[in-house]
Amino acid sequence: MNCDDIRRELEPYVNGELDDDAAMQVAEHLRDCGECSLRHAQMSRLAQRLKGLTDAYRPIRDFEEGIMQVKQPGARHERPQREGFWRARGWAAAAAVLALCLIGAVVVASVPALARQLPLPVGSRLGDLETTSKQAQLQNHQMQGQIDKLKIEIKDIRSKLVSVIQTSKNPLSADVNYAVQSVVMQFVEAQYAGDLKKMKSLSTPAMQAEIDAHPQDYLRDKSGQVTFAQMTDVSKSGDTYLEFVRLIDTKTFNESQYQEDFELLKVGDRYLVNVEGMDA
Amino acid sequence: MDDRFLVARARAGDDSAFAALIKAHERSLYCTALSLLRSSWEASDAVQEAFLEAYSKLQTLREPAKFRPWLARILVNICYQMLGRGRRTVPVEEVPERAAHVFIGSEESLDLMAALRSLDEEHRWVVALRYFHDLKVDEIAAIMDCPAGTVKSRLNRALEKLNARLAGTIQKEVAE
Ligand SMILES: [Zn+2]
Repeated sequence: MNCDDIRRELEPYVNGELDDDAAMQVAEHLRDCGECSLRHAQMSRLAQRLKGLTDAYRPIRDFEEGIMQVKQPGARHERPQREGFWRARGWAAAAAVLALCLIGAVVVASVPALARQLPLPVGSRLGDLETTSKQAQLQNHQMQGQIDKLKIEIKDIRSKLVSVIQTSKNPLSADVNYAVQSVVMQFVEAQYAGDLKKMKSLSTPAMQAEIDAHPQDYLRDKSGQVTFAQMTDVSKSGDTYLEFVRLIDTKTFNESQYQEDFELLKVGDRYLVNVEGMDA
Repeated sequence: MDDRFLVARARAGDDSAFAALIKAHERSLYCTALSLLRSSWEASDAVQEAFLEAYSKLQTLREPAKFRPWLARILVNICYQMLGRGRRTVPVEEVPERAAHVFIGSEESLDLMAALRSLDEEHRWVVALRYFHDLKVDEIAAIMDCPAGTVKSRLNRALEKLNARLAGTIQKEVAE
């Protein structure tokens, strides 16, 4: 066989798919031909790297849960749609910043130092890495700069000490922050108390209807004790006030913290929850 | 654990066995969908649909030992449909968003995925089925409905192109 013939067989050779005779012929040729041997080395390396890609990308979605939902309609409805819904909101940046700051502890001493120790997985949530690697690196870099500038304060909100991370560029007044954060905290407490009435009293009409339609989506385990691990400061987008809360409870989420994302609207002089959702 | 064993248990109604099959194959499926579809979210949807279909049609799988190529074929059909659908519609505006995955690879892996996504569709398919699903040439030929010789030449061509697009990183590694 000449070099062209051999090169046609290299791909199956690298993947162990040639029969013994053919494999032997290729091996002999590779021993004597530097050019083909180099091609072989490159192809082996490339094959190895391609196989490694399946370890590099870990899908976030719980596919098993997707199946169980279809199997038991109504058991836990609409989660996949909700993911679509969340991303449509463009909350990714603030949510990612919050996620970055969250490694377990209730009080985070030094964010910049912590951020540098972060493993890649968390960092990779910062942008859609698939677009181009260069763009993603740039985003990571920019986000890192933002994190270095983040401020964390321990605040007393409704007699609870919470660490608040400043994520917004143009901070709102302390009064607005306190008012919005108080509503959010009361809402979460009502979720854990199973108090739908209280939750609705803190909600806009649209949210009230949503709670009536899917109360199970908004109620949390009543026996759980909830701790407010971290909150963002309030940021404003158009008429909407955004607030992200990181929680720990002693029941469903005792090992991992989870996040609730809130959108509030100002109605008269009150801030009311217009959208609430859980985030990973 | 062996797919055959898990398939048998799943067919007997053991959902935890199907969950194990999901865990064993989700990354291969996701990587394939990611290399073919427009966004990571679309890829995530495709994988979910593939598992749903596999779950509902598991009884129709004749040879449990062939679960892997069978599952790959389901995904291929779903991706085809999604690609076809997309061609007729205007793409949604591109907003920077979180990906549907967590990435824990090297910069080289990112470059490799980007290079793969830049190939022609026919080349992406054979590479994905070969290297993500570990299928044989004949199995790929059956799924793609083309002769085995075509699969072989597409694989060769695809790898050559990848090699060229990675602009020397492979060459350098091999030289070291
Ligand atoms: Zn040669």
